[in-house]
Amino acid sequence: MTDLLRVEGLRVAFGERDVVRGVDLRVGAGECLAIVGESGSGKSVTARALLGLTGGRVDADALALNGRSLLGLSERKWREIRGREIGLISQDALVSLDPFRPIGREIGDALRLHTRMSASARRGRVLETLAEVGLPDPALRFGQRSGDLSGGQRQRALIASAVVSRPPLIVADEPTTALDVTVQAQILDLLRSLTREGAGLVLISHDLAVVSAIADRIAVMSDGVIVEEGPTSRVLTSPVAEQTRALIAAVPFGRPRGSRLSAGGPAASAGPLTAPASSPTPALRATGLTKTFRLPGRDPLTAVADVSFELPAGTTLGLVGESGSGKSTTARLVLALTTPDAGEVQVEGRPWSALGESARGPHRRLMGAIYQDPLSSFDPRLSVRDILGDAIPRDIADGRTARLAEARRLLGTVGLDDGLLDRRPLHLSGGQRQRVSIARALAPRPRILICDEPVSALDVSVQATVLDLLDELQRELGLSYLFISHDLGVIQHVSDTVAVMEAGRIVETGPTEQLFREPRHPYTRRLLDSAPRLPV
Amino acid sequence: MTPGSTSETRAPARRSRAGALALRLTGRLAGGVFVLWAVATLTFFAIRLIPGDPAQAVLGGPGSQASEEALAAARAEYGLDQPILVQYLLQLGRLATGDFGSSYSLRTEVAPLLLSQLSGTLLLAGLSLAIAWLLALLVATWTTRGTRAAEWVGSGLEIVGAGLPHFWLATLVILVFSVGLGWLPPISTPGPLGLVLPVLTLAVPLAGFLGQVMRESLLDALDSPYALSARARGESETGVRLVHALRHAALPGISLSGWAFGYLISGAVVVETIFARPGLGRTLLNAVTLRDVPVVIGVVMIVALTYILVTVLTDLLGRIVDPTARA
Repeated sequence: MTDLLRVEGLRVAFGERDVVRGVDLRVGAGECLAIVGESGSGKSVTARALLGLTGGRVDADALALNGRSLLGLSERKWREIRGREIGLISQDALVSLDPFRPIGREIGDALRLHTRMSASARRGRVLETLAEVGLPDPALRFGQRSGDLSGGQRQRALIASAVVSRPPLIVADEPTTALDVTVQAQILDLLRSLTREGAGLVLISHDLAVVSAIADRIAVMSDGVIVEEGPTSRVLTSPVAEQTRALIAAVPFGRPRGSRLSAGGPAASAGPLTAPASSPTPALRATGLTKTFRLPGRDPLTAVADVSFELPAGTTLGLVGESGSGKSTTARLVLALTTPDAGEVQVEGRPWSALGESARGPHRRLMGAIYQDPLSSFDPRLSVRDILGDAIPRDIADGRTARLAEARRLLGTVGLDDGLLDRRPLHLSGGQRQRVSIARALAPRPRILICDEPVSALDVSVQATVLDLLDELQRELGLSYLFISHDLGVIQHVSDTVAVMEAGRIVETGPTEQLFREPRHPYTRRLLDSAPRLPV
Repeated sequence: MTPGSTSETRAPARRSRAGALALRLTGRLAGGVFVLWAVATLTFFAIRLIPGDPAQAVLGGPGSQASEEALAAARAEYGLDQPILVQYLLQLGRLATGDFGSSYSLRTEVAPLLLSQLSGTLLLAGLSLAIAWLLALLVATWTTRGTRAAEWVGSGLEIVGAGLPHFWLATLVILVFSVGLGWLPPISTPGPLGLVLPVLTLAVPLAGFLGQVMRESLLDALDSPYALSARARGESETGVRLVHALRHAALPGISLSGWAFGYLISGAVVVETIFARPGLGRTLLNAVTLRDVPVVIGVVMIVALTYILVTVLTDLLGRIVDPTARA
C-alpha cells in the first residue's frame, strides 16, 4: 500500500532555533495518526509544515502526498495543495473563522479558490457539507457568523471549511480544545467518520486520553523529535519512552484522589486522604443560592437557581458542569463578588453573603481564589516580587526584607525558584503563572480556596503538576477547596464530594467514588460517557 | 471564561437588533441637537470675550472712525443694546429657525453666503479624506509584507506624516511643485489641478494618523487564527488581505474618520488661506479677524452639524463593516 502522506527527516527552524529536528511520519488513506506532546514539543509546527505554512525554514528528506513530492513547491503550487489536497482544522476553533463573514462564505472559500463552480453550485455543496458535519438547519447556518454559533457549532463549521472540497488528507490541530466534554465527544465522532469515508487524518493533541478514542496510531513528540510511535493500543498499554509514560500518568481520569499525576516530588505523601475533619462546622455552606441576570433587550437569565451545598473543612468539593451551567457565577456568589437574589452563603458557620462589605472586608482573607487565566489577573508591568508583595498583608510581614523573605517562602511553597522573583508574568510559562497565582492566593493565609477552572488552559502534563501541588498544599495547610471544572477527569481526581451542575441547578451531589460508580441523573451519565479516558 | 460559550439566547437579540439601531440613531440625533446648542452657546459667549465693541465691527472694524450716533444706530439695528441674556435668547431663537442673520462686514445674508462656500470646503475635506485613506491603506499594506525593515519604513513614514503641520507642508509643496518644478499652480485655481496641492497638504498628515491605527490592527488580523484558516484553504496573501484582514484593519480607521473630518475642517482654515482658495475655512478666518459675529457663529454651526452627520455616518459604516457590533 502506498502511503497517502510520507514524511522523512522533517526539520523546521526559526532563526537559530531548531523546533522540529527530523520527524518521520506516514499516514494511509482512512487512517488516523495522532501526534501527542506537550506545548513546545513542535507538534503544531509539524502540522503546519505539512501545508507549507510554518513561516520558518523547512527542510526534509521526503515530504510526499500521494507519491507527489511537496518539497520545494512554489507558493503558488502550495496554494493549490492547501484546501484542496490537505485541509487544516486549526487550533482555537472559537476564533478560527472570520467573525465578520457569514460562515457559508468562509466555508465556500475553498471551492471559490480551487474550483470553477458557480456561486449557486458552491452554495449547494456548502449546505451539503454543513449537513454532513452535523450542523442542524444548514440554510439558516449559512448566513450566520461565527459569533452566532456555540463553541461546538463553530468547530463543526470550521471542520466543514476544511473538508468542503474533499481533501484526501486532513490535519486537525487540537480540534477539541476549549470545547465541553460532551461536544468534544461529538467532534471526535465526526472526525472518526471522516476517516471512515477514506480521508487520512493527522490529529494533534496534548491529551492522550482525547486521541486514544479515535487514533489508529500514536506518535509521541517531545523536543522536536518523535520519541515513540506505534499502534494506539500498544503505545497505551506498553509504552517504551519515558515521555509516553509521563503523558499516560498525567491523565487524571480514574486516578484515585491523592495519587500523584506527575513524576518527581515527594511520593511519600501519596495515599488516600483522610479528611482531617478539624472542625465540625463546614468551611462553606450555601443555601438556596439564586442569581438572575437581567440585560436590556434579552430575556432574564437565571444563572444560578436554588443551589445548596456544603464544603466540609479540609476537603474538596468538586463543582462540575458545562459552560453556561452557572459554575462561575456560583464561585462569584461564594466570593461575595456578586450579591445573590435569594439564599445565603455562610463561611465557617458565620454569615457571609448577608454581611455588608464593610463587615465582610476584614474576613475576606479567609478566602482565596485562583482562575483559569492567571495572566489576565496579573498587572503585566509588575514583577513576580511585586505581585506577591501586594498580596502579603502587613501583619504577616512588614518592611522590605520581611516581605521579600515572605515572597520567597511563598514561591518555595508552590515549588518555584527564587530566580523568578524579577520576572514579569508574560515571561513565565503557563504552569509557572498558575503557580504564582496560587502563591498570591495563599499570601494572606486563607483557609478556603476557590479554584475556578484552574487547570483548564494547561497541557495535561502541566495540569498534572498543578493538581499535585494543590493536593500537597491541602495536606500541609489543611485548606478547603471549592474546585470548579468542566473536566470530569480532573473533578474525579481532586474531589471528596462532587456536585454536578446543569443549567443553573445542582442535579446530583454525592461522595466522588459513589457518584462515579452509580451516577443517578441522566446528565451525570452523559457527562461521564463523554469524558475522555484511557482504555483500560 | 469557561470553554465553549453558548448562544441559546441569540434569537431574541437578533430580532431586537433593528430596534436597537433605531434607538441608537435617535439617541445620536438627540445628542446632536444638544451639541449644536452647546456650540452655539459657547461661540456666542466666547466672541463676547474678545475685547472691543461689536458695533465697531459692524461699521467697518476697529480702524473705522464711526461717530457715536452711527454706533448707537448700529447697536439698535443689531440688537446690541439689549442685555446680553436677551441677545443670547434672540440669537438662539433665530438659529433654531435657520436664520443666521446677516454679515456685519459683507452686508449679506449669512446662510446663502455660507452655503456657497460649503461645497468647496466639503469637496476639499472629502477628497483629502479619501486620498488619506488610500495612502494609509497603501503604506500599511505594502509595509506589512513580512520584512522588518519594511515595517520600520512604514511606521516611520506614518509618524513623520502625522507630525507635519499643515502650514509647513503647504509651504513645502508650493516650493517644490510650483516654484521648483512648476507643475502645479501655487494658488488654488478652479479645476482639478488647483485641488492637488491643497488636498495633498491635508491628506498626508491624516494618512499618517490613519496608517498608524490601521497598521496595528492589520498586523493583528494577519496574525489571527482566521487568517491562518484562510491561508490553509489556499487563499493567497493578497486574498487574505482583501477578504479578511483589511476589513478588520479598516474598523479603527473608520472610527477615526469622524474625528478626522473635524481635523480636516480646521486644517482647511490654514490651507484655504495659504492657497487663496474660497471656502468655509477662509470665510471663518476673515470673519474672526473682522469680528463678524453672525458669520462666525454660522460657520461654527455648519461645521458642527457636518461633524455630527459624519460621526453618525462613520458609526453606520462601522456597523456595515463589522456586523457583529452590538448596538
